[in-house]
Amino acid sequence: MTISEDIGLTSSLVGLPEAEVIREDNGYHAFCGLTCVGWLYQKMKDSFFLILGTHTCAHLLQNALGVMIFAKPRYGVAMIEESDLSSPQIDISDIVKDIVDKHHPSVIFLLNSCTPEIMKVDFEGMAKRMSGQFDNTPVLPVRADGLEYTMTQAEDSVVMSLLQFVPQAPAGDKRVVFVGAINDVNAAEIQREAEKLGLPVAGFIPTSTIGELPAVGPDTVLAPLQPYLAGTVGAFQRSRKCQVLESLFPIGPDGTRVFLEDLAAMFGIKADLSAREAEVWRNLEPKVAQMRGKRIFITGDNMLELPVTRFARAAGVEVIEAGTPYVNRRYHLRELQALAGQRIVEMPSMSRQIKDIREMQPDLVITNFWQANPFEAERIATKWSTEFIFTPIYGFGGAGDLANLFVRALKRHKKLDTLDWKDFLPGNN
Amino acid sequence: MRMSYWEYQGTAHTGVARIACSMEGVHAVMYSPVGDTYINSMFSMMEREQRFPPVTTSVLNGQTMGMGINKLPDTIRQVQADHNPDLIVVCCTCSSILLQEDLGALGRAANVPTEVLVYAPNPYRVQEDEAGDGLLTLLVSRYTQPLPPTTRPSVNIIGPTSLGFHNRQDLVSLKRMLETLGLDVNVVVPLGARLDDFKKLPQAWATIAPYREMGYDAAKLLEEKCGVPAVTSTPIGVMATREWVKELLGAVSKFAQAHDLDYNVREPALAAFSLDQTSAPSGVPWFNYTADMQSFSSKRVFVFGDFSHATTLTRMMASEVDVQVVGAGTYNLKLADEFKAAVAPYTTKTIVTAEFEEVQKLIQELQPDVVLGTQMERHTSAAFDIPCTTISNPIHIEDFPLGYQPFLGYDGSNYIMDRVYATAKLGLEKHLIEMFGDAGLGIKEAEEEGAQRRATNPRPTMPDAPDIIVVKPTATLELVTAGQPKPTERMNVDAGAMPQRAAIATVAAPTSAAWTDEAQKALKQIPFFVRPKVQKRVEDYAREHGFALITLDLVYEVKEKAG
Repeated sequence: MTISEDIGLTSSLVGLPEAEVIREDNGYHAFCGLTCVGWLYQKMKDSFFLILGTHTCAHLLQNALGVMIFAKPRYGVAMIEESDLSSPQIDISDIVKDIVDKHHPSVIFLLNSCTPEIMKVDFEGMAKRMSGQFDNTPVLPVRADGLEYTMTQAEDSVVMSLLQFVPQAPAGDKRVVFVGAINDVNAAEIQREAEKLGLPVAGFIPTSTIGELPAVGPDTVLAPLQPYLAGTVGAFQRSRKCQVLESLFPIGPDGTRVFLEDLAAMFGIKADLSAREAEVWRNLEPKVAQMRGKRIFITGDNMLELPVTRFARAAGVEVIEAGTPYVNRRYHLRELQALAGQRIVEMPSMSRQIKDIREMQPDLVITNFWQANPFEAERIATKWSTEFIFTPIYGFGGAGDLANLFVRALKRHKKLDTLDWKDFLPGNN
Repeated sequence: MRMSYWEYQGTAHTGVARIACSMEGVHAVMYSPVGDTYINSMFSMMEREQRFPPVTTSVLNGQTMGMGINKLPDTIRQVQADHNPDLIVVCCTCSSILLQEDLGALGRAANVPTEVLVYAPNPYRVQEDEAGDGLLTLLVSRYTQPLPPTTRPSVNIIGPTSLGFHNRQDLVSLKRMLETLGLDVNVVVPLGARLDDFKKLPQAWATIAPYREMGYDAAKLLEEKCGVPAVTSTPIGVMATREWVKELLGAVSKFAQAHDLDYNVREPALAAFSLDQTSAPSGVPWFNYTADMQSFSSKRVFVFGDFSHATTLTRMMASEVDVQVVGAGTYNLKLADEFKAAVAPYTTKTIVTAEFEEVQKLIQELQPDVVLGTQMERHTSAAFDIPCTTISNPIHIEDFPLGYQPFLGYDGSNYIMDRVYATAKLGLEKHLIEMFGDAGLGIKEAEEEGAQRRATNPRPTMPDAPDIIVVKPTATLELVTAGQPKPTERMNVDAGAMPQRAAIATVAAPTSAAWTDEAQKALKQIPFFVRPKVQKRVEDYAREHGFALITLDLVYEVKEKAG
């Protein structure tokens, strides 16, 4: 299941001690790829996300994302009905035409789902046929089906598909292009930190409109911001022969410092951000003080588990287990090395995790939407893993929000626990 | 192939999970890709369920499919080992059903001591309610055998379900009424039931199945198979509840006669139904005689929802609240004819569709004063600025209130009346403020007036609550249009309502018409909250009649004509 894109890491890093990774092979327990739409359609303002799916996909989106239709939503489901199951070719041209007429998007992302995948619909051919047919609007195929893709993996698919809109930078244009759909404030902060080090920044991928995408060429330094963009990074590297930063991800003061220093090194600049990192940790101290010594369990579904665990450990947290959908040993190499000795479980067994959590009674469990309240009912504090995806946790500027994700639940529990009402709680009444 | 942005119902597996999550000792195994597990979140997040949803996914993915491995037997074994349920229900989803696997054989291959039931309705034809209802009927059919009746008169309640709209509170309301009627509850299914409870169903003297979409078929089956009479009307609204009580008592006494059981129908004193034991069973009748409710006769109401709620609320609104139901509809396509027949006496316009865009179009066309609908109609109404309250699934996190908010029975009728009244009134206030102009200005003026009043009156009634202008309904409107400005009514209301009102206010358009000082002065004497409207009326009149200057005489002239 691992995305086996060869991103050609330099071999100097290979062979260092790494974290222990156990593979339980119990399947992913995450939202499927279609849910990436919820965040990306907001990020990319001239896009339309069309899902080739079923009634279930529509129901998933409205429930999982808690989304209601206000005016003109920029996503929808081309719904396969029973009569389509036996038709030789599924025709979505009326739907695409309607979207173009109503929304005038610069680009339509066509996402596949489980049903067309099982029906073996040639959805890439379908996207190709539709592309440019109406008002010259490109229709890009995006692999997002729940048979293979989790929420963040499909985000990788979407960002990867933008490659064809990215202009070619000429040789000699040595600038950094950051890759990853992060919040604008975090992006501006990271850009500022890079520029303070004298690094020329060409821009970010994705951008809020297709026309603004920065150019990428052989001398571009591509800096992935998120641990789930292996596919995108591989595709750019193959197509543009660009250089790729191999570092930690800019999550937490520790990761951000290494990320920026390594990035500077690729421009021949020796940067020392130890004072900057220390300053950020000092500012975080009131939060870190509440994290220190706590035992945390991450059940794992958002793909941010490795850098989040690394940050938590740096803040003095004992991470009992870091579950994660999958580990890409090449793309995650630096994070794995930074996590030497850490127990990491790939495709963890949910059944086993529940038993372990009950036995180990961690101070906090970072878990999915459906397990959180049942754990709370057993008096185990939880944090929704999905919040890590939607919270601006990147760069030095995002460190406070990142720490808050741990602290808020702990603090609230501590405060509520002072009240004389435990006998009102589940299991006690 | 059609474009979908939103659906009223989930697919079949949602219905199956709702039954499993309603019950104790039943575990659903979804043979599906991982994405279909999203329904688990609905139970623990919306309903704030304390236990882990008894739904496990046997994950179908590219790797195992490619390798020809089927994990279903392993998953069933694990569920058996972890939970030791009384029954495992295996279900497909829209993608996995296309694989046409022999789930029965796979279930047998698991070789577990627990019974494994494969229930895989076609998700392309059967949706959430029908799938859940179908499984419920199947369980009743499988686990019931005729039994001798209980010694005391008792009834079953079939239908309350996890993720059912206010179902848990409906159950409290039903139980309160049964207690008043001296009837025991034999068994409630599926909510809170074990399979063993299903086996006890045949010993009741009657079955109540208040929801047409969930439990009706099961109750009918039980009647047919075991002779337990089914009472299947929905007690929503005072009259429907009163009829339902009669129907229930009739069924019980008929059953007693047929089985030679000792039972005398004794209708309790009406006050016995009320919460305080001294009032009428419901305040709805008196409420609707009170004078301010006369304005409701001219209200145009649109009703949309599932079958049970939409039909009964249409009737309650048209007959008991005496509004004009300008349209009624349901998303339950399979009960279209039954729906049309049920609402025919109360409305002329019906709509049966599962596409919210159609409902949206109709609401836009009808421009009702109040909408009773689903979450989607709430959004539609917000867009058209029509007050709306929700009366039916699809479920929302707000449908699990902590307070007692039933829809069924006398208690339910009270709650519905409160909800409809508050919605309509809030709508009216919004409407008036918007019609009469700038609430930003209004609130500012109100604050100034409040400050002045506080300055002259050192004994404020509630110093902590902000002053907000609340426009009294139609009476003020009529007085003002008749040219007799009334002093502003003041009330202390919840501060939380304020930003909402400010947000809906529109800024009065600037005017180019010239007013004489005298006319300006007269305009200023009119309370601020109707001033823009009067101003507009005068200016419109001036324009229509070719007056370049607005004089005091002209103002009076407009007032007289308007009166």
